[in-house]
Amino acid sequence: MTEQATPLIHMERITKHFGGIQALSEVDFHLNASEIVGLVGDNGAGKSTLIKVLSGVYSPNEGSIYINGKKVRFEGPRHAKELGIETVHQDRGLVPGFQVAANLFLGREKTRFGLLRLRYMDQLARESVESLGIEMQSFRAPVMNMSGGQQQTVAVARALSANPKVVILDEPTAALAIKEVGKVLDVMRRLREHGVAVVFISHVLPEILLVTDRIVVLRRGQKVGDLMTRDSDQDLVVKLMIGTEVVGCAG
Amino acid sequence: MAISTTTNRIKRFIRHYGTVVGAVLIFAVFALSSPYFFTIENFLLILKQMSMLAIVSLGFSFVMAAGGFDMSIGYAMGLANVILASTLNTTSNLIVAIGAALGVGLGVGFINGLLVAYLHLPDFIATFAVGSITFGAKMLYSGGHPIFLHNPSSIFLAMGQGYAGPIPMPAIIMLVILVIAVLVLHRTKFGRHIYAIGGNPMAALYAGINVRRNRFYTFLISGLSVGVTSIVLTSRLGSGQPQAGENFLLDAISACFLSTTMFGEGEPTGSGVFVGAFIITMLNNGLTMLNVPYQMQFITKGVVVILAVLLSVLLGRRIQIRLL
Ligand SMILES: Nc1ncnc2c1ncn2[C@@H]1O[C@H](COP(=O)(O)OP(=O)(O)OP(=O)(O)O)[C@@H](O)[C@H]1O
Ligand SMILES: [Mg+2]
Repeated sequence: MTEQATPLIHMERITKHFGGIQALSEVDFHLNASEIVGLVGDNGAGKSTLIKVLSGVYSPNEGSIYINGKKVRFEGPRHAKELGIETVHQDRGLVPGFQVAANLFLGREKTRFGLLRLRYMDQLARESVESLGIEMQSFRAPVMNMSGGQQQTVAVARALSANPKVVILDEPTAALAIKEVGKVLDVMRRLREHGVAVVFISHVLPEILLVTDRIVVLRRGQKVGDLMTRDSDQDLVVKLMIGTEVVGCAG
Repeated sequence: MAISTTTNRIKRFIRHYGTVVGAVLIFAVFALSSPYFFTIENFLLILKQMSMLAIVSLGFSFVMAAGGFDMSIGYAMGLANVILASTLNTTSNLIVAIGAALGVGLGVGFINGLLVAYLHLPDFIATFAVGSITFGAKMLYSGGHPIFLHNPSSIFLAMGQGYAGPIPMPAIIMLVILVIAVLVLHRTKFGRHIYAIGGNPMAALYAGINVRRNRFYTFLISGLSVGVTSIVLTSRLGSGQPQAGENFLLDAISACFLSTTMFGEGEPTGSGVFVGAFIITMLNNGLTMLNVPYQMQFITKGVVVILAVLLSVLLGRRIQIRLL
């Protein structure tokens, strides 16, 4: 395993429960700059919960988070964003009645003299969606009138336009056609080239094996695997997800 | 292809302007039925009559934009009304009295906001209960008797009864508040954020918006608008009346509901609430002019709101009203 001295993100013994449900137990997770890490596991394994802890949506019951070796306690999603962590959540987090620009700038709207700069934001939104290489006929329609893939694109564009250090993508390819999946994978590679760390959650293992550098496997809230992608194959990952095998995360 | 885009265009037109067209039709019926309806005098009268409803509805629309509901506005206005009247009598100080009225409104909004936004009680029930408490407080305070103003200053009376040229003062106050409300709702971050909370609270949360605090603020704003309205009301009545203000709840809900069928995508808009308040008032005004009995006006209003909502459902618009 190639471990850098101080990882960009280090989550240590993260435990989270919801009432009686133990969603995460003592999960260690780290992330380096210029790295794409695949996070896999069955439904309910705790993937989304883990990344919600990392994006400041949930605070863990136990465990600590370090950024560049410095301990942080997120006060909320805004705090995580300020520290450079952007997330595309599984449910996309779009406001259905809002147009593209309103969604893209949600929470960080551009203003002048306290008033929204609507045209300016519209133009910036257009540019950042087009920079993903995806056409969109209508920027002025509410996103609820758009296809699932187009909505996905808006959510991804929003995360990228904040110039993050860490990008978390929770099943960003779930609603996409093959061609669009390729574009999202390309986006991840481009981010890696620019030094960004990427967490990629997907149930489609070939995608994971194709694009990631490292794969972390969760099973019922526990980390059961942490392996370099080049050392793994689909069989091994599946076994870890459903079976009893445990690799690379002792101690 | 061409046909379907034309149908879509017609649908979109009806969706955005259907309620306005409906209002124009009602207007035309009244105008044809009574020679006094379609006159400058009556138009200015409607402006005057609608002003209180418009102000309180604009406040209400903030709560509704954030996906909430405020059932306390009618009774809160009554309490503000009697407290304003008695404070004016005891202190003879306009500033103190107005401060007391605004304080009552803000106080009720504060409690509503605390219960709903921070303690997560269902808004419908919580604000209803606060309304009941407010009603009891008003009855205790006034003993159920009207409080007549002893020596109201002319400035105070002008707020509800005066004119600037031909324009009634309440209408001017309403227009100022309308401009502010439209700007805040549609041109500021805060406005954006409350619509986001109403549209998808999780999305707002993910985006780093402080959902609780912003919901809390919407109740404060609703309370503030109740306070402002009570000033106009007290000035107009020249007294504090035990029953005053109670009808505003139904009318404000109607105005906000009508507004969701106009201009926007199913949320109340500032301009829509204004038009909604105009329609409700025009109905009251026209029906009175045609000597339709008072009781019938309630029935007519209910029917009109149902028709408007039905229209928007038939046109496939998502209705975004959550009562509980
Ligand atoms: N807000 C919540 N309240 C209660 N239980 C929750 C909550 N969020 C998640 N859980 C529970 O925690 C466990 C882990 O859920 P999580 O969403 O993290 O799984 P996941 O790995 O993302 O699954 P999927 O692949 O289906 O998205 C599940 O048992 C789920 O029911
Ligand atoms: Mg998930």
